Amino acid sequence: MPHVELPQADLKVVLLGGSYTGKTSIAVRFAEGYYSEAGRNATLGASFVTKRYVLSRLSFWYLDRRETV
Amino acid sequence: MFSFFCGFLLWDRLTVHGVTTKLQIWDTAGQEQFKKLAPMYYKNSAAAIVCYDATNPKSLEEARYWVNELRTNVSLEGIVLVVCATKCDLNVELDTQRARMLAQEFGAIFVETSAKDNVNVTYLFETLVSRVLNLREPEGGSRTIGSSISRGSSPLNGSTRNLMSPEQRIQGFTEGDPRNSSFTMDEKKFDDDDMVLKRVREEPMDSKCDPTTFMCGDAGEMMTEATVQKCGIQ
Repeated sequence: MPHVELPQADLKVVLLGGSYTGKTSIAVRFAEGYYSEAGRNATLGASFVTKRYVLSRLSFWYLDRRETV
Repeated sequence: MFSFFCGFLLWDRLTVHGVTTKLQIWDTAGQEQFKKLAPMYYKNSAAAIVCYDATNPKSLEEARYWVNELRTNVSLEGIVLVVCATKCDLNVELDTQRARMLAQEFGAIFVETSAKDNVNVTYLFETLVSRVLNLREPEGGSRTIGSSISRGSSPLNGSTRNLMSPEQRIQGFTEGDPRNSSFTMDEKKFDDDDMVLKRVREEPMDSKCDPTTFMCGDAGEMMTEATVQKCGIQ
């Protein structure tokens, strides 16, 4: 039986900003890992991508927090 | 003695597995004519990234507009705000002072990124998720991350999870209450850490899985339960 790790946190993140600032590029770079040199058309309305991400730094962050409490 | 045990348990989980997060990244249109649509997207968001073009001072003004809009329409306590400079590969000598001040003014994180050269993009989301999880911790300070992640009894079993179509899940995300976009925590079910520990001990463990799987699976159900409630499938 394969070990499948289910998400423990489910977050909605929104990218805002003026036109041609690179919001789509950031989203695509993070979620799909590439950058398109060819340029792209302006996003109409909105689009969305999902990304499963394992936050490994949380342990360090958690330590920091404990120290401050 | 108890607190030591509790801390140890958490530490184990966190260092071995990290926290798996599912990010739903909504990419909005920046054009003037789409500005009215934006509330649809930033409502119920756990975090907002306000981007500006580092090479274009005018876009910083637009970023200021977005930050102000967020401030008037959502409470900044409930949303993590990031001011993000983009295209940082284009100009090495950037004046980020004004953007930094903008971020500081609203308690936002400031990150300089370049999608082209892959600079700070992962860092941006990593910082953001860390900050969101920090925010979602229950009030009081004594509670730990583990208690908010792991959860007691859930009415759903594993098979129910598979019955839902992606559309239903999305519907659950966008139409839910603000808490639905992040950890959904039922305060009543978490009287203290002790209860969580009891749950851990009582839970029958699958011999083929390691002990930490319990937490992962259970938290997955937590998410699904919230989504199902929003969709009206009970």
